[in-house]
Amino acid sequence: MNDLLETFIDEAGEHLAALESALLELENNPGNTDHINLAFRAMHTIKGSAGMVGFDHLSYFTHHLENLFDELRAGRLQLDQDIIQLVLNSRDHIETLLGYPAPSADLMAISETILAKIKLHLPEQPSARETSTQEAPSKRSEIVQLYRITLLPCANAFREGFDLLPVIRELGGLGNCQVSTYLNQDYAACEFDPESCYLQSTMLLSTDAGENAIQEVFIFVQDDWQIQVEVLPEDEAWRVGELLVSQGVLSDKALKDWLESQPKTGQRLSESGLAEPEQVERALSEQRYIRQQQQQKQQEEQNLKVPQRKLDALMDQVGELVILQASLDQLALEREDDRLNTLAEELSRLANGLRDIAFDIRMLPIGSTFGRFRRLVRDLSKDLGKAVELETQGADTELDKVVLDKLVDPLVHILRNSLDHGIETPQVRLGQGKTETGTLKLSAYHHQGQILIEISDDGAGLNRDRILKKAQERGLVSPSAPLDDKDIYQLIFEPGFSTADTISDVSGRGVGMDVVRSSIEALQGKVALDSEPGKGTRIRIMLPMTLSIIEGLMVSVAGQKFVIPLNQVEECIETSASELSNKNATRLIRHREQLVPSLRLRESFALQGTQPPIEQTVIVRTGDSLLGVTVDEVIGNYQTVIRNLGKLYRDTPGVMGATILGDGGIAMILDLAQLTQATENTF
Amino acid sequence: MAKNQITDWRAPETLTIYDVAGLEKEIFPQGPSVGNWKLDLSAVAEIDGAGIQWLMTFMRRIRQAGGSVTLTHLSDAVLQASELLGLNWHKEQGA
Amino acid sequence: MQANTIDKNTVSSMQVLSFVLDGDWLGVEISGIQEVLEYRQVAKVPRTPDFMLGVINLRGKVIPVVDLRRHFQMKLAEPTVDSCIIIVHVEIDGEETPLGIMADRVQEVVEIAVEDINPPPRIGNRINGAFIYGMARHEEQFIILLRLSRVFSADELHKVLEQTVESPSAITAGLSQVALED
Repeated sequence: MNDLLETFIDEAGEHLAALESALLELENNPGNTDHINLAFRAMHTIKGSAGMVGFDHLSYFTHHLENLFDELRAGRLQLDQDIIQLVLNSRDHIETLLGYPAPSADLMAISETILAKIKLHLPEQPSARETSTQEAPSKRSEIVQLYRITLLPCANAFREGFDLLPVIRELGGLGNCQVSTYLNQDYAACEFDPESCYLQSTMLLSTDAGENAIQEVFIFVQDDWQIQVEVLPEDEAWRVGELLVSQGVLSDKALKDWLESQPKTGQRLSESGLAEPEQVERALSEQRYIRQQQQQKQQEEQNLKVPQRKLDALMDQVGELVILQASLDQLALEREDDRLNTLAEELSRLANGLRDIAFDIRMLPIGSTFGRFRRLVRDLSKDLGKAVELETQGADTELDKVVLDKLVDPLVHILRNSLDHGIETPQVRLGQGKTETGTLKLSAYHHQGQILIEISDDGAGLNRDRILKKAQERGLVSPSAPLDDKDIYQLIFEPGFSTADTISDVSGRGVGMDVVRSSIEALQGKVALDSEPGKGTRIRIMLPMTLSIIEGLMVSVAGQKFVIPLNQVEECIETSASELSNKNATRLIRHREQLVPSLRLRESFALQGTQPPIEQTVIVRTGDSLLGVTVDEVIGNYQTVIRNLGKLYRDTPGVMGATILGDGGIAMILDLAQLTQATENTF
Repeated sequence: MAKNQITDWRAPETLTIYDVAGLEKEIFPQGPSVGNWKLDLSAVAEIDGAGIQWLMTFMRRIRQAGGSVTLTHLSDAVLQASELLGLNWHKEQGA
Repeated sequence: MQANTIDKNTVSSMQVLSFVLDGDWLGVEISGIQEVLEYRQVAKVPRTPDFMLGVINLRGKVIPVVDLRRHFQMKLAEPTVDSCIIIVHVEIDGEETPLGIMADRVQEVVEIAVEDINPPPRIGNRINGAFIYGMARHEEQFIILLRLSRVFSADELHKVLEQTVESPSAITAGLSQVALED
């Protein structure tokens, strides 16, 4: 039952997000019927499924909201700011109610105050009340279609608490229906177990709700029940025939026979001489093909819901497989056995394919989070008396789900900051010759194997002097420290820094940009800030695409192995040991008419052993900077499963994690961003 | 079994997944049996799919063995549930 | 490591794994121990103090290994055939994490009656009193019962880090400075 609840709450969360984005869209474009329908559907589904899992109060509450949208859909009510705000408030309240199957009196009182406001907008209705699931659908925008739905619950359905009745009731709520229910072929009188389910229902449903609405009814049972939803063609004979079959009067076969005994349209055509038999046959087979294709397409578009932990488990297993594969590769190499080699290569191909798929499954478009940002910007700018427009870009940029989840809080914080401190009030903006409405841009895109997320505003920019003053007051910098503007701006990422003179409700509650920075760094990412007084502020976040497996380049120094993320490797060159390092183990080397800061790993990591006369230097790129990493030997490409080094080694500079090698040993993975920065600072 | 003998049986208040196993043992202790039954459903205040299914199998089993089943006094709960499943039990209703 | 707190009202004895480090017998309450491994190659993590020996691969998981000698002002030593790694669970920054500690030799699991546990002597012990919650006599030996939660508390880790960080190459110092500034 816990799974069921989890699913419900998950799904409800998604529907709330859909509702929210539809509302925000409607705010700009109140006449958009698509979005009204979308919002209605979201409410309707929450209401239905809340009833199924025993959230009766929630079901009751959403029922009234659904009525409101029904009025809107029917055009009897016009959407305005008041209603949008009311529904947004309701949305938030629903979010709260999701935590309580049996809410407290306080929460129920809140529900009633909201409902009272909603009822003000509803036309007087002759007490058509609380038949919450049976109300006849009013005018809908989609065309009416006839569906045949076959429901075969799994044998354990009753025992697991899934009844057929609520599902059918829900479906019936979508339109006009005719149901027939019978005992399925597993039923045998002598082995009857009254707690097993042997029921099977066939339903003819005529509705304008569309197939998605039908599928939504099955969200809790789709994995275990056999469910078929077919759109019936507008063929009267067919319909009647099916009806008979579904009522058990005719068998499927008998119907087919009967249909085949009827002259087909095509045959009639050809018999009347209007068309050649071959032509007719071709046309008919085309039709069959098209129908087949449509069915296939429907199947392809089917989506599955999978709990996160199952994906994590899959990823773990894939990680183990990749490690095992590396062991096998190594063995094959040592044995020089052709058959073993072939097998290892074949396994490697499969493992890589599997890895790619497992990755892909976990990737989510960043746009899935944009909805809540839009809401945040809308609400906050209202509170602050500012006019702000949020522009988003690159919504389809995909990120690992885990990364995405952890990214939301920092982004919220940055946006809050921009709204609170960055963008000015309309009066101030007008006074400075700016547009009245401020613009907040949120964009995401791929950039050199990483994800780059940019948040920029056209507000006041950072106040250099105030930051410096505050930093000095807090002892973050000494008054004499020589700092340029950019250095000063970065100070806002220091722990305990908050520039607002008055602590506002919006930001500046002690947690500040330092939390943003540490969250991003925990994701192996980087954050940087640019600002121009009077013009605005831009924050750039660079993130790796995944946190679990990367392509690496294996190198060795003094017999120890290290891994360099391959997507940052530009090329490998030979360098001479005679070029000495300075005291920081760094030196500049000439490469393609350019001086590249380089780091000798042996010296930097204090490794023993003798330096070979000819070394290898791997040129890597982080952002716009190049860095040379000088090692003894470049071994080759290596599938790297990244393992966290744990709390104890969390802050180790220059190392972002470890990986397990084919022979069971461990190699460190270099943190190039950190090494680059540290090296640049030595010149 | 005497042809004209009718067994009157009054269904309990609830006919749900929690009740059907017990009822099954009570009515069919030795598997399928024959006879003429009259089921009084007036008391049924709560019925679910498992309850409906049990009544369906009840009728099917008795009838297949040559007996008869009559449903009487269908309560609102039974009527609603059976209608929802398209079972037309209101038409089966006897006196 | 709550099991380490001794409640004389409810517990009459405790089971302790005893091991030897630089000649001293140390004891760790067994509920915090996951397993004991034979010594195996530990991969050094660069730019870390030498008491943090590095990491090992334990069935596909990367587990840090530390050498307590540094905490206890003991002589550093190379591993021998008797060396073992004891995998314990400790809380670091509020997160329970597995950790390996080096032992010269693992002795045995002994049952120690609560009344035989004495508070650590104030003086005359090279191990910091804060890391010890008691001393117990077992046959001919004194076993020093460790309070692992204290040994790996953030404060202590920092203290040890500060003591040791001066030694490695100049770049480490340079790096930590950079990390603070950016």
